[in-house]
Order: sequence, then C-alpha cells, then structure tokens
Amino acid sequence: MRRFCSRFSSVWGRLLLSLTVAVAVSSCSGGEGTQGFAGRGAPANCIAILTWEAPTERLNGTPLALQELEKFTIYAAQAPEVHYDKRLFEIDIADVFMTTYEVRDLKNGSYWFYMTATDTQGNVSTYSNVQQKVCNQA
Amino acid sequence: MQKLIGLAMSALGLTALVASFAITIAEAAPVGQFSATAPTSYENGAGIDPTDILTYKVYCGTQPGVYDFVYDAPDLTTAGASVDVQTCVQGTPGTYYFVATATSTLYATESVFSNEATRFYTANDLGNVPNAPVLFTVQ
Repeated sequence: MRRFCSRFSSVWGRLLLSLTVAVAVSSCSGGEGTQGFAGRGAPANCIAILTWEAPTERLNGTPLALQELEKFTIYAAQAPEVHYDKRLFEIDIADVFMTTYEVRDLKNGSYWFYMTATDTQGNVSTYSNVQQKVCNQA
Repeated sequence: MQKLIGLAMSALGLTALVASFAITIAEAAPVGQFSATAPTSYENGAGIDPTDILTYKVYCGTQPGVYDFVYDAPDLTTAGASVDVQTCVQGTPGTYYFVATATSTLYATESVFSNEATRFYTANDLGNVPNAPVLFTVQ
C-alpha cells in the first residue's frame, strides 16, 4: 500500500500558472511518497512518478554518505529551463532514503521536473537532469 | 662571488632586499590565481640587477597577518600564475589571507611581505557541494 506521507504547508498564488506549493514530507520513512497537485487545465487526475538515486560524491570527488544529506528538493516548472521564474512549485523531501515520489492530480499540460540534493551544512547540489511529463487526459 | 658581494653589502649595513610589491588574487581554490606588479628595486633604492632572477613565494593563512602555509610560486608577474593552496584551505569555506614575497637569487634575500590579498572561498568554490541526484526519471 502506497503511503501518503506529505504535509501540505502553504500555498501562494499570483495566477494559476505561478502557483507555488511548498510541501514537507519529513514524516516519510519508506522509499516513496506522494503529493496531490491540481495545477493547470483540467482534469486533475494525471500522475507523475519520479525516481532517482542519491548522489554518493561531492563535486570535488569526496565520498558523500546518505547521512550527510538533509533533503532532496523536487522542482516542477512550466518550461524546460532551470530558472526560478519558470517554477510552478517545489517539494522538499526530508527523508533522504526515499527514491521515488508521486505527484498526483496534475491537470493537463506539460511539466518539467528536476531535483537538487542539500547536505546537512546547507550546501545545495547542482541541478539534476530535466525530465518532461505531458498530461493529456480526456 | 655575487653572494660574497651580498654578504659584504650586508656587513656594510646596506640592504639588498627586494622592495615590497603588490599582489592580487583571483580564481577559486584549490588553485589560486595570483598576479603581481614586478619589483623594480631593492630596498636600498638600487634598481633590480638585470642578472638577478627573482623567485616568489605565496603565504596563506586564515587570519590577517598570520600565515600557516608557504608555497613556492611561479613568476607572479606572468599572466595566469597560479599556486595550489589546497593544503591551506583544506576544503573549508571561509576567508583566506595571502601575501607574497620575492627572493633575490643574487643576494639570497627575501623581500618583506606584499600587501595582503583576501579571498572568500565558498563551498561551491571548493567543490564541497553534493553532486546532483542521479538517474532521475519521470513517468
């Protein structure tokens, strides 16, 4: 059974396209999580399943243990560019043992996802590769 | 013979120290890129002897005026001169302080310290940030 282990913390929106959602999932203890997000267009029943592996090294080649990580952050954007202005929402994942996450209730449209890892000293990684999800449901 | 001249000058109380000079530092650790204005005279006012080859050292520390590491440096007046200061910064973000000296091979005398150049090294400068998550996919 897939656990729903997220805690919705806040929602701000200027317009629907610039809606920002910050979610903390610090209570997750398994390897996966979910979060509903009703973004653009309709209907709102599309699911994006994200998977990843934690980095094992720092940029300078020194080993990086999971215990040295504080969180992952998933970014969803309305364009493939890794740019703050293009972001729709972001999700913090405090359980660094997680390797998959479901973003639910996406409305029709194109979404681009990418990730960062943050260590316990607050150092943020470079961005992962960018992956597209197209929701086009009748 | 030349060293004898230097010793004789010292015995006479004449200094042949290379006059102080200015340095700047750019680029990130572990390789700091330095530049310097070439010294043109000794402290006694005499111009640098054309046969006198100057060698350089860079000193590094974590507090102003306190330098725990010294590195033999290339000619700092040459563009792109760089020194690996990794043993000084040791992957630790923060502000570091650098000075340089020039040593006269003719008189075996080392100049006083140059001005102090500072640089703040971020974790990113030092490559201390985590790599990005890998094998990221979306279905």
